Amino acid sequence: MDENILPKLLDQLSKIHIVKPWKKGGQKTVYKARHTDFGDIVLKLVYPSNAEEKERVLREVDIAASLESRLFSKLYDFGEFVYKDQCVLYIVEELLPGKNLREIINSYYPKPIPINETHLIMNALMEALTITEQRNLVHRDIKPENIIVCTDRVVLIDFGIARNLDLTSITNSFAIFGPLTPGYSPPEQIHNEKRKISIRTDMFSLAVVFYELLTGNNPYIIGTKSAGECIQNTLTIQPRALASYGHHSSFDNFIFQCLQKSCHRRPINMIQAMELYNLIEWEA
Amino acid sequence: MFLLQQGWGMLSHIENYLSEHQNTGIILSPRICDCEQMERYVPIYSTVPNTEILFDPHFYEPRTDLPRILSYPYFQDYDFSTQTFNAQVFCENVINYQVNTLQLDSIILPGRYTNSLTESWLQMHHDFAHIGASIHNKTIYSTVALGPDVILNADNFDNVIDEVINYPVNGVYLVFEHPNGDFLVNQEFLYVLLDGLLSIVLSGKKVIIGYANQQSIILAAAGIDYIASGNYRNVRAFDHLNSTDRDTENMRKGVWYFDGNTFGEYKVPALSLAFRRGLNDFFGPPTLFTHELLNAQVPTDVPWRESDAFGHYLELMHQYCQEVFTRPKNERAQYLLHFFEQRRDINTALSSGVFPFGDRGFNNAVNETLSALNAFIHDKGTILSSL
Repeated sequence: MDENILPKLLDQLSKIHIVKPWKKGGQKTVYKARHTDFGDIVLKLVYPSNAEEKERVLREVDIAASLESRLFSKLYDFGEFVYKDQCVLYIVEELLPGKNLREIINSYYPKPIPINETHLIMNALMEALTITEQRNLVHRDIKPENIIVCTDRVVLIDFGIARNLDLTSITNSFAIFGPLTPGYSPPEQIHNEKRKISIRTDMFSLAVVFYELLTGNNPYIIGTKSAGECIQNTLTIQPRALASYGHHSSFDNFIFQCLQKSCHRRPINMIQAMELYNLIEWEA
Repeated sequence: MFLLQQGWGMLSHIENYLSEHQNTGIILSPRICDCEQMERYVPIYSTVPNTEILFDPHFYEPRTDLPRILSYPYFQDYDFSTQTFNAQVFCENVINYQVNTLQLDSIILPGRYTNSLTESWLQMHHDFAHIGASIHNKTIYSTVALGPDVILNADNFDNVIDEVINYPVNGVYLVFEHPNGDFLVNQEFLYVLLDGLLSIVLSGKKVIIGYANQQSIILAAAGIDYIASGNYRNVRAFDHLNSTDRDTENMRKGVWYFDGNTFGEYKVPALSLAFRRGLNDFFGPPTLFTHELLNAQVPTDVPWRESDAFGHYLELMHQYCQEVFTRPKNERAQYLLHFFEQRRDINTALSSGVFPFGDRGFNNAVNETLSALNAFIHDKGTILSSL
């Protein structure tokens, strides 16, 4: 598909050259490329199979375009290209020169990553969520794979299933599960309870990431053999206190409030979450 | 802040009550007034300064047989037993009536009573809230009317609160039936309510507790804003059935004396016996309505009328609410702990004097109330201090 369309598309996008395939999956192909004005970039080609998929991509692009901060990847260009009745959406983004957090966690495993790195990463992610909350956005897929750590910044990527709370949901209301990543998504996402999706949804996932950074393990995934078990754990278990890993109890205060299964018991907003976060005693 | 929950026989007293009390208000009921009366009285009440006037649409049980409720324009043309009910149009009509006809500044959205949580109930109330959010320059309250089974089922109640905190409204008007139809409730029920209310308050919403009684003052510990109570017991405990029979039954209830010191209610002969036995000093505090009664050697010799009983109860409730609600929210729980400990001590002393508390005594409920409050303070102390 790409073999035919890509050359035609690049005829139009004349400033992009030296294109190399990078990742491929589902309806999407990603290339590393060079842009005359912006330097190294990512070129994403998405082939939506229906109107809903197209709407989802358009919303993702809208979100990316609205987030002007070093905490998010920069969107340079976007457009729709039709070739022989085939619609392709192209997205031009900055290429982030870093590793995703999953790779970093794995590189230290079974130990957790150093606490000073965790501190820096968490500071950035708390700030990122403060910004998304101000825009009334819920990322809905916060996990190490979607966090890029560069030498001078941390970047939250992939707003593919993000929800703009000002817009009507495009998720199937009758689906048993909502879009989710087992082990990171909170109960309201697991149950596809769309009316409950809010910044508190992201707080839960962020708290799981935080827990993983501090212990080396995701508390809902460790010891499981299937996604179903992760989901069951998320709905039922209470993770082990961080104090038992030698961390100060102030970590538990923050993390366990964000990991409450009922969203009404989590911090109401990022201001309140930040107040709790600022009480953490990093120097144990 | 204390609000009057309009009940039977109050129509002629409301204007005086509102004029004589600062920082109060009323929740009017279509169960009591037909729409003609409502439209005549609301402009009069609206002239009283610093008064909150609200209108409860009474949508709890749509298949009502009360002609007064059915006289309201938003109830006309609907057969709620059929599939033709259009929730959006109904909600808009309820709002229009309050905004355009009654010209109120605060609007209570309709709410259905449920004792068995369903997706359709949740969706309807979510929709109502979003319809309400489209009204500007008004304070909008969502009605949440729950039965005891929903409140005591942890998953159900969490589910309701999880949704309510996201409603795009200014506040919540919460009414709830008590377990087993009891007038006073146990510690578990109180604790669950406090826990849920705290989350609603933290979400930045005002909370009105409708159909409250003296025990409901404990709920102020969660930082709520209003407690509404009234004269007869049928406006001191919520009953979703707008049945004519029940109203008639409540009208037949006798005259009771509400005692602020013990928080119980007693008939005057019981008071007389206590006075003959030298237990006078335990009862009080006095109000204008009880001057003769509490100073009599034999209270049964004093003509104690129903209107005195109502006036006294409302006066004390107003006073207690003023004392609680004028305090910073983060100090209320401790204040209420002390408040109910005082009542416990007086009940204990009276109990040792073998005082017959009767069915409406607070002697058993006071320990339940204190247990709930102590547990709430223990579990939520850090959050409460940040209110």
